[in-house]
Amino acid sequence: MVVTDSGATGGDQGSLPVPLLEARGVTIRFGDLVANQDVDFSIYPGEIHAILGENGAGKSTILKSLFGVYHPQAGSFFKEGHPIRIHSPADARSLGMGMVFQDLRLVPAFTVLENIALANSRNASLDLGRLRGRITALAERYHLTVDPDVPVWQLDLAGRQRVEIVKVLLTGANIILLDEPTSVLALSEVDAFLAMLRRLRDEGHAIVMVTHKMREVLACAGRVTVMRAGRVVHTTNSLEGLNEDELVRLMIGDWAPTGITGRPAVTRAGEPVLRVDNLSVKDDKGRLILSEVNLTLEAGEIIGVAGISGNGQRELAEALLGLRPLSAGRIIAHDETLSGAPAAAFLNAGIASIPQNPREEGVVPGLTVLEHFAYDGLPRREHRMQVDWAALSADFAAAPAVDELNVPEPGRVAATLSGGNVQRMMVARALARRPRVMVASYPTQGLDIATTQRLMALLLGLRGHGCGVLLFSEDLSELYQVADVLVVVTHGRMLGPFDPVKIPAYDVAGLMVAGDGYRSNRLGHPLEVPA
Amino acid sequence: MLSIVEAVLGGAVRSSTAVLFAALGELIAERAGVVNLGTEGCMLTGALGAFAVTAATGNPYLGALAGGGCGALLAAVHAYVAVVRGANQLATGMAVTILGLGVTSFWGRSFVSTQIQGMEPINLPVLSSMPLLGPILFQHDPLTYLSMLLAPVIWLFLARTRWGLALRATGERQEVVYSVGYSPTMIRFAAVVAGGFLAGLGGAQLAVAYTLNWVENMTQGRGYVAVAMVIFASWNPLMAVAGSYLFGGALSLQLALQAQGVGVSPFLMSAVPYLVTLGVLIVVGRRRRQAMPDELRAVFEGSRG
Ligand SMILES: Nc1ncnc2c1ncn2[C@@H]1O[C@H](COP(=O)(O)OP(=O)(O)OP(=O)(O)O)[C@@H](O)[C@H]1O
Ligand SMILES: [Mg+2]
Repeated sequence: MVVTDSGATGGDQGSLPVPLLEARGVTIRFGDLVANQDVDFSIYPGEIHAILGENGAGKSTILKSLFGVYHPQAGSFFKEGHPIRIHSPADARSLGMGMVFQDLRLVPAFTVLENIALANSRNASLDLGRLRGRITALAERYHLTVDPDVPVWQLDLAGRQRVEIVKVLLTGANIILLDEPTSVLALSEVDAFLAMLRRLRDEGHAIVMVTHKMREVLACAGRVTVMRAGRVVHTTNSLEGLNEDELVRLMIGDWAPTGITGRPAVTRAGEPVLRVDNLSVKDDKGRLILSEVNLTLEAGEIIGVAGISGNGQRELAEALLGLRPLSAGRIIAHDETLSGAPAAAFLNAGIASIPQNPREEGVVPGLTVLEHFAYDGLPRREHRMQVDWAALSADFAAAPAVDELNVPEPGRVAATLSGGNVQRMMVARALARRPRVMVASYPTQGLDIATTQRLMALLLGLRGHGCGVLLFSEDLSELYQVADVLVVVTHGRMLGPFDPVKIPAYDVAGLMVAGDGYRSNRLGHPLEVPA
Repeated sequence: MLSIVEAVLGGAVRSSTAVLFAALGELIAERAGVVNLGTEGCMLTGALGAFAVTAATGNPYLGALAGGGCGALLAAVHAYVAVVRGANQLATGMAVTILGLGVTSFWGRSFVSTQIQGMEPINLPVLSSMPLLGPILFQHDPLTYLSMLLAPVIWLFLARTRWGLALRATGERQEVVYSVGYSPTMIRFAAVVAGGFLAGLGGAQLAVAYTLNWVENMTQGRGYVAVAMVIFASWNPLMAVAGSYLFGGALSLQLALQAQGVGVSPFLMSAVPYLVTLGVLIVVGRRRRQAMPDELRAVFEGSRG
């Protein structure tokens, strides 16, 4: 086991050495809400410690209190056995901590380089040239693609996640707190990332990682802490003999992995609901990122869009919502040409979206959950020119997706929701619109396992009602689970459509990386790429 | 003819100095995410402080320093109320300006007819004897030279130093700054006070280098013009120089025309520089949203104090 063989510090104090960092009896309340109740948590050098738990279980809260952002009402912290105080992130950093926040901490108007410089400069004058070199070296060493000179607002979420990772590594922190660092990374990137974590661990860093993906836990963690409703319900000192199902059971108790059994029959099958003709879009730098995209989405069809992020997914999704002008081509919904029309026309045509970056593209931090549903999602309710909140509340409570996804109470302010609960709200809202076309970008990001499964079932339900779904995802297993058709965006093109029953995931992954020059080793000849 | 051009443009530079100082000060505060409508008040207190100290000591340089100090002091009031206590920035700024106006009107009365020995213009060696450019740019009081130097210095500070980066980040996303170990409150406080110092220096230039007397409300809205300049300049210090000189140019031209006896009411004429400012703002409009520090949006949308 990792912990014991790193026991350079006081090996004779029992089976475990003194923790590098320890929290004891931490309790954090927000008003009446208890986010952490009497939480004990410890980190040893040279270990990867995973924190699991459902959305809202209190994982981010304990990490933020270790990093000095929240101040516990009760509890104490220790470094190598000595009591310490952590009043602010400045304290945490001087204790050798670094943190990747779930909702990231980047300045969109700054370049990647400036963002990293902000966290890393100790001298009065910025030595940007040297820092650029260090970034490139680090990115190369750990196989992370980062361009130091791009403004962060031009990056998609995965790109930003990579920047955060590089930023924290460069601070030289030896206690690294990672709050869902891989939630939108593609599988190949996740593997490289996990390899990097193992390497850091072997170099003696202590790593804490919150994740909803059991695969990641099994691939690298040495210890696991499971939280439920603000409490630590389980800490294992070894993962030996644990498998995915057992981990999930620790997390949510009785768990019958329902899976997706069968596909509901589809009404109005075959009727096209959205057509994309020869579409080209540019990215924020004005470069053509996707061209000659042709796509027909039928009622009752789920098209899965595979691809490594940054290959035009964000631009395509924005174009389909009327938020980004086309460089060429047309978008047609129900025989009505939408391209060129204002975004409202897209909404009126029944197109709904689950945004890629909800915090920036849909959430108003100061508004309540119900208010979010009032300005979009639920039909308008007015009474003598005033919003009829009572009727809206009733509609909210009656919306099936709200119940199914366990959306937080309508009166909660968005800024106080956990990351996964924000996502639940956004997803439920998009579903409540009863769309005819759903453009879903990474819809399961941040959701816990059970909720992810329920969302997949809801998407299939939409399909059953004759809605066309375009599902952008970084997770191939998710796509294979529900998609009727797969397409791949890669190297400026959209390849496909492919039949998921016929094309192995292996080949889709190959296409994602290599584009249409990819040759399947197994087949020995170029893949058939239907026009 | 040439000498008129020289006189008008040279006058433009000299009469721009006060606005330029104030605009640079406001720019620093806004880049940190704080709007200081108290800039007008800071200029006024700076002008009176500089005038009083110059009158008492006979040293206009000491006076200028005192003027900066007075501006900084009044700005500290704004910083405390708006940044530390979190009150609404716009309301606080207005209140600070009114406070500055009241205080200076009260204490300034005894100085109304006082004579002082102000700063003398210094002709820079070599440079000042250049044809045309010499008289326009290089025959001014030291504070004017300082303001010219200050713009690129501030630009460098913002772009190239760690604290400049932290200041800009505070104006964009304060939670990011906090998460990397700085105190956004402290940075904002410092930025507002530093901005107030510059506004005070601007007022000082007006009193002890430009007009050499004290008149109640002698800044005549230059502080507000400075706030507008910052927007015109897209929060870029080098652009602020251009904006301020445009304002000063209109001011100087207006004075020259009045001196020529153009038959337009002097009251209307003195509105011209402000009209020019308005015109510039209309043309510039919201050309580049990216330029505005993100945190200011919260101020104007009322979602933050
Ligand atoms: N600043 C805050 N104000 C009020 N309540 C908060 C605040 N931060 C968190 N909470 C609440 O505390 C609880 C725990 O939140 P936390 O963010 O720790 O959950 P989490 O385990 O990270 O969940 P997720 O998987 O969704 O990220 C939630 O109910 C959340 O709404
Ligand atoms: Mg969380």
